[in-house]
Amino acid sequence: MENRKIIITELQAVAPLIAAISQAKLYTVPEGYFASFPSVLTEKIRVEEMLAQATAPVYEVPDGYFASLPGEILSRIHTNHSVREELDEVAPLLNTIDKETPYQVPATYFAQADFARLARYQQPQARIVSLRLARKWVQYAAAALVTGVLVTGAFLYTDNPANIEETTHKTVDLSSELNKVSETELANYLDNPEHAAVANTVTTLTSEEILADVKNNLQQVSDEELKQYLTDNAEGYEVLTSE
Amino acid sequence: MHADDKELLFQFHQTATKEKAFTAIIKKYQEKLYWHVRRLVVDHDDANDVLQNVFIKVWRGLENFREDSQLYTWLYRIATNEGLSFLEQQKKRGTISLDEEEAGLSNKVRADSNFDANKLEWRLQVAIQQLPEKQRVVFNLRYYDEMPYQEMSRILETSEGALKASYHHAARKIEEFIKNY
Repeated sequence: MENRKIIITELQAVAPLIAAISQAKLYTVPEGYFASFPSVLTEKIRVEEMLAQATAPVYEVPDGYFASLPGEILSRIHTNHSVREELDEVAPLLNTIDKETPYQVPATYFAQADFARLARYQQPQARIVSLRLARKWVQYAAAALVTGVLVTGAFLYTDNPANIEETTHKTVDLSSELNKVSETELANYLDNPEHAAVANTVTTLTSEEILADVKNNLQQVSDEELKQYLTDNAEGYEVLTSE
Repeated sequence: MHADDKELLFQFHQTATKEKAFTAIIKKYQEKLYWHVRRLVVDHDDANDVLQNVFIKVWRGLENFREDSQLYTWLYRIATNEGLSFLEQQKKRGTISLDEEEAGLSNKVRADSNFDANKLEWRLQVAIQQLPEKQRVVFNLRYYDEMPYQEMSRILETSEGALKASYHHAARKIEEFIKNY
């Protein structure tokens, strides 16, 4: 009762509405439930204990059986059966047959064969075609198209003879190219009126101007290069010196 | 420990009187524990299942009961844990969905054959089922069982201050719910 008063007082301070509510039990309980509950429960416990005893194992197991079982199983798995022992179990007749292979091999085959070199030139393995190959080709085609457009544009933009000649001159070795040209071709070239005009332009240079130019060029050539040149062109040199 | 509880425990430890003492313990505490469980699970059949599980655990564990707390404190602790475990199992089985546990129990209250929404007492029951489980336990133990915070603290293994705060919070929530119902 003391507790009841304390709780009512507490509830009136916190939630007065609840303090006013009756505590009559609302839920119903089957008639005779509490009277029979103890006997029902003790009977249930008795049955459970009986069942627990009934399910106890009756067969005996050797001492230490379960403890050693994993190890025994593993050792059976890892046991190295010899091939003969295995075949004895599977197909004993095969153990009676001679194992020498009857196929013939050329006498010097193993001495001459260079398997390392053969491996280097081995045909590549079958190409694995990606399922995404088609998509890649589309990408490559698109890239090629863009590149082509850019190159064509660059080509058209830079399509200037002077530029071409300059580029050509930078990459061509004039002396080696001239050596490839025959005398007949040279003569034909000079006979061409257009080219003759150029030659005339050259010949209008004074001998002093020419000499100065030659001296200037010769100073840039080393003694070894001169000797080499004279060696290479020995026939012409003899002609010159014989005059 | 109460004298009669001590006597009952002594008789329980004697083989000759073990079952008789156990029966006596059941008769002494069955109603209190039943209503404590019933207010948690609402349904009678569910409460019966839980109560039986409680006393089976008592039968198995009473041999080792150290008597460092009151017998009824120990019994209430078992009953609370079994009730909450039952609700947890119902959630996992999908009988009550995770988010709708409180709504499910409220519906069970409303499904009672005697339910009358006009009566404050029934609205209180519906309101109690809106509370989270542990808050529900605290409110029920204090409001219905008139349990001191000190005893409640031993049963629920929570500080008295926390229990007090939880109870006050629950009471205000219930009052608010009833006003708006």
